[in-house]
Amino acid sequence: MSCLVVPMLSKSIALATLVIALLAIYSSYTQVGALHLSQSQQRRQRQQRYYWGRSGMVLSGRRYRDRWEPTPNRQTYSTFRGGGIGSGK
Amino acid sequence: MTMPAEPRRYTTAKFSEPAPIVAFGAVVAIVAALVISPFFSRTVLQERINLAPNATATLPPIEPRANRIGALRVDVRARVPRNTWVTFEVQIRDREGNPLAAALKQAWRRSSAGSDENTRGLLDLRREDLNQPVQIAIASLEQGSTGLNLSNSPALSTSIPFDITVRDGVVDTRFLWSGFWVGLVLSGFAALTAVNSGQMALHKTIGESDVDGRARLGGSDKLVRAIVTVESDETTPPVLHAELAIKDGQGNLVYEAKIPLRLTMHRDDDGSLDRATGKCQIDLVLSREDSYGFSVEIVPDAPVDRTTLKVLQNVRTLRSVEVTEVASLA
Repeated sequence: MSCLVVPMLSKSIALATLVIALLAIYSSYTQVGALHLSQSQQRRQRQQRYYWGRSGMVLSGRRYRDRWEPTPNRQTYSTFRGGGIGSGK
Repeated sequence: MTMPAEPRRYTTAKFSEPAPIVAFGAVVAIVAALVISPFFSRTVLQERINLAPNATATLPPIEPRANRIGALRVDVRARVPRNTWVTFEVQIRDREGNPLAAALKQAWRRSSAGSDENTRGLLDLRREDLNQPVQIAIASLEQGSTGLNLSNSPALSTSIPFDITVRDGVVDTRFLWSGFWVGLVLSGFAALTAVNSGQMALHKTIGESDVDGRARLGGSDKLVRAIVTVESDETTPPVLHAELAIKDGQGNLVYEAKIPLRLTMHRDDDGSLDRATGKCQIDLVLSREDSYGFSVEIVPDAPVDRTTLKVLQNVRTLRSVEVTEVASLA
C-alpha cells in the first residue's frame, strides 16, 4: 500500500503548497484584505467580506445603499460631539 | 553454484521524487514576491497635521492611479504625549465630500514600561472602479490621559500632531508571510513523505551477528534499499563490515558485497567505551522480480550484540543516488 500512497501523499502536499503560494501571491498583490472602494454596490459588498484590518484599525461603519452608515457604537461614542463624518448635513 | 554476474554501479535520478522540489519552488516564488513587493509602492503624500480635540483635518485630494497592483495605504501615526490616549478616525470622502468609508483607531503611549506604545493606524484602500479623486480626512474624536498625575496632565486640551503618509501600490505582505511559513512547513512534509516512502519487504532483528531472510521483491523499475544496523559491545574494533549476500529463487548467489559500517561510539561518564552502534545501507536494482534471500554477516562477529536487517522496496529519493544493478541469471 505505502508504495503507492506515500509518493501520492508527497505529490498532494506539493500541489497544496503550490496552490497556497499562488493564492498568497494573488491575495497580496491584489490587496484582497483592503477596504474596497467601488461604484458598483454588489461588487463592493462581495469584496468587503475579505476585509482584514491592520494595527487595530476598525471600520466605524458600513456601506448601505450607496451611503456610508456609521455604526451605532460610532454614533453613541461616549463623548462624541458630532465632529465626525456627515455632521452638519 | 553459479558465480554472480558483475553488478553495474551507476548514479541515477530515476527514483528521485520531484514533488518536494516543486513545493520548495513554490516557497521560493513567495520569497521572490516578498522581495520585489516594495518596488511597486510610491509615496503620494506625506504630511504632519496638528489636531485639536474634536477637530477634523482634510488632506488634499488624491488622484487614482492606473496601476492595478496593490492598494492605497493611509498610514497615520499619532504623536501622543506620554500617558495619553487619543481615538481618531480616518475618513475617506468622494469629490463631493460624501463619506465612502471610515475607520477608528485608539492610539496610546505609556511611559511606565519603556517604549510601550501603540500609536500607528493603517488603512489599506483598494479602488475598484472608482475613477475619481478621493479625499482623506483625519478626525480626533476623544483623548485623555492614563498617568498618575491626572490633574497636571494637559492631555485633554492640547492638540496632537499626526504624521500621515499615503502610499500607492502597497502590497499586503501578510498573505505572503503566512504563505511562506505554511509553504515552508508543507514542503518539509513533502520531503519527509518522499524520503520515508517505500514498503518494508523484510525486517529482522537478531541478538547476534548473522541475520537472514527471504522476500519477494525486485523489478527493473523498483529501488530496493537494504539497511543494516548493528549494536556492538565495549570490545568493538574501530571498523566493522557487513557481508551481504543475495540469492535468487533457485538459490544462486546473485550479489555479494563487503560494506563498511559507520560506527558511532557511545562512551561512559569516565570516557571508557560502553558500546557502539553502526549502520550501512545499499541501494539496489534487482532487474527481475523474484524471491530473494538476503543474508548478512558482521565481521568480526565477537563484539556484536544485535543485528537488524531491513529491506525496503519502491523507495523514492530526494536526489539522484548511486545504485547497484544486479542482473538476473536467467
